[in-house]
Amino acid sequence: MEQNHDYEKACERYLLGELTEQEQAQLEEAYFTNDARFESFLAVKHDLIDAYARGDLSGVKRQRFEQNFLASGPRRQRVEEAKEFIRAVSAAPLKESIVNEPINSSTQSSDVPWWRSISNLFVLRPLVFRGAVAALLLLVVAGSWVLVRRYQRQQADLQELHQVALRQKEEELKRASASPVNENTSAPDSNVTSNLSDNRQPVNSTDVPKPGTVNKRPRQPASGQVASIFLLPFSARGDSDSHPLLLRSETRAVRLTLAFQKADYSRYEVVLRTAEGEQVLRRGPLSDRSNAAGRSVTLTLDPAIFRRRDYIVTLNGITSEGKPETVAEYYFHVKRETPQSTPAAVPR
Amino acid sequence: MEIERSTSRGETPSLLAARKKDSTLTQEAFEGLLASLDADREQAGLKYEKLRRKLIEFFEARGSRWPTDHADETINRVGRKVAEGEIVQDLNRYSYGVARLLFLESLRARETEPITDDLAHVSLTPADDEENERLRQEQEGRLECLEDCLNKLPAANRHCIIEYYREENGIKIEQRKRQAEALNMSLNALRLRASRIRAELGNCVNGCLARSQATGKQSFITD
Repeated sequence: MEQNHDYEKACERYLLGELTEQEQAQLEEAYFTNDARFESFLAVKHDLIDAYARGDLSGVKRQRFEQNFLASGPRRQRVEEAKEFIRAVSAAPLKESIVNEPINSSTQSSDVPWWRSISNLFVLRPLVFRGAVAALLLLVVAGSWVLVRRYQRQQADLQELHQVALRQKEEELKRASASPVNENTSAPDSNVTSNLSDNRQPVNSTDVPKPGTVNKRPRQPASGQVASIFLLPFSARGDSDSHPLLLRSETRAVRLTLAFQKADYSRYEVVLRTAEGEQVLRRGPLSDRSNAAGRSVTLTLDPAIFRRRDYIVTLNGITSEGKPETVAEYYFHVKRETPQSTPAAVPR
Repeated sequence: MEIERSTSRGETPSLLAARKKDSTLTQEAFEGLLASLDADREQAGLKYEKLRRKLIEFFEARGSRWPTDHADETINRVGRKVAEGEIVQDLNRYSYGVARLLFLESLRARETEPITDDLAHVSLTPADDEENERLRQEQEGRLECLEDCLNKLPAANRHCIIEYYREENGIKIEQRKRQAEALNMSLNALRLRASRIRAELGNCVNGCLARSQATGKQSFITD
């Protein structure tokens, strides 16, 4: 047990690049010659990537991970895959009926007909299992009632959602007819304009998810899968409100549009930091676009990089010598929403 | 000074040629390699896959830019040695030795390569709209395959992997401890189980992608 723990610790240090050459060679030889060791190694690696992708690695460990583990392209890809995996798994519905199912139950259920399994319960341990089956029946009845209630609630929610979407669509049409230009251009003095319009639910009734398919992704991403936020420079703000970026479980991309007035750079880079100053990512070179309202840089980000906290975005212009110069800073905070159709917690 | 132009993979022509020269293994040699892994062909196939996986992990950990290529090259070299009649007691250990030598070779080769900024390969650089659209469609394909594969898992495994990895409020490690307790197993056993299921999912997704995307060469959660 202790030996396993030591081995796993060594695996983690190996992945973080903390082992000496000799220690590395020992560990590698161990996993090459012992399949169980290799499985443990993979499990440690999965957990480490998973923790990083969730933002659960902190301080030195995170730094080591970024310096060593993310030093190669293939491994950066592993992290991206892990984020995708977490998102996909988080969006998948849990089936409550199998909660707390013991480890060997799957093999049992695949090999033995269900009616035989039930009859075996009575043959083997009558009293205990009769009680258990009675309790199970009670659970099924209670569970059915809960499901019916949930279905009714979902129906009501969907109806409400539909009405909200229709109202939003009407408002959008009104705004569009009043001003054909981008709505943000009409408010150049409001320093930050939070825009979650892409995060709305579909408008057409055919697009509203049906109760049985609420978690099924359509082939083309619905508009609700992209959360957009339009930001104006933080420095010119009169108030100190942080503007929200709402991320739902179905959100698959975050589009940040950073507006600014004037800058003479042909290339830009964006640095995203938490309000505490921890760098989340640096992206560049980027090109800007201009319209009647001024200029803007847009970038699309993976929602998995965001936690529920405040963020500061720095837009840098890249000089002809390749040096970054700050053009503007932006401020927003992230909110995450758990979908009602997916059980948030598993009863125990 | 003559500077060789790098290929799209960052390799100089001489390196590429060297790689290609070594990248062949006859069918006979391959069969011999499989036979030396296990007398039963199905088992040999499984052992081959596991060995390859180990090699990829090794090269990834050592910072190789092309871990898959290096893993395959290692296997080719081992296969040729076996075909030449070399007696190998422990093929995994032997392969590790070959992999170490190949890695040292690649380090030496890298020293002669023109210096390139490795960060240039980072996928964080934004692509144009067309490229974004292509990437988005690829991602869609992978996610659809993953969803299908999740649904094909036995119910208990499906539940286990979802519970283990899903994004929830609170501290994940505490949730996993509770999950392990509910399943009456140690946290370590749960971690191994989740890792195995994930590997199974990875194989399923790769198979799904291979079937659905004849053109693209994608892989997903390959471990």
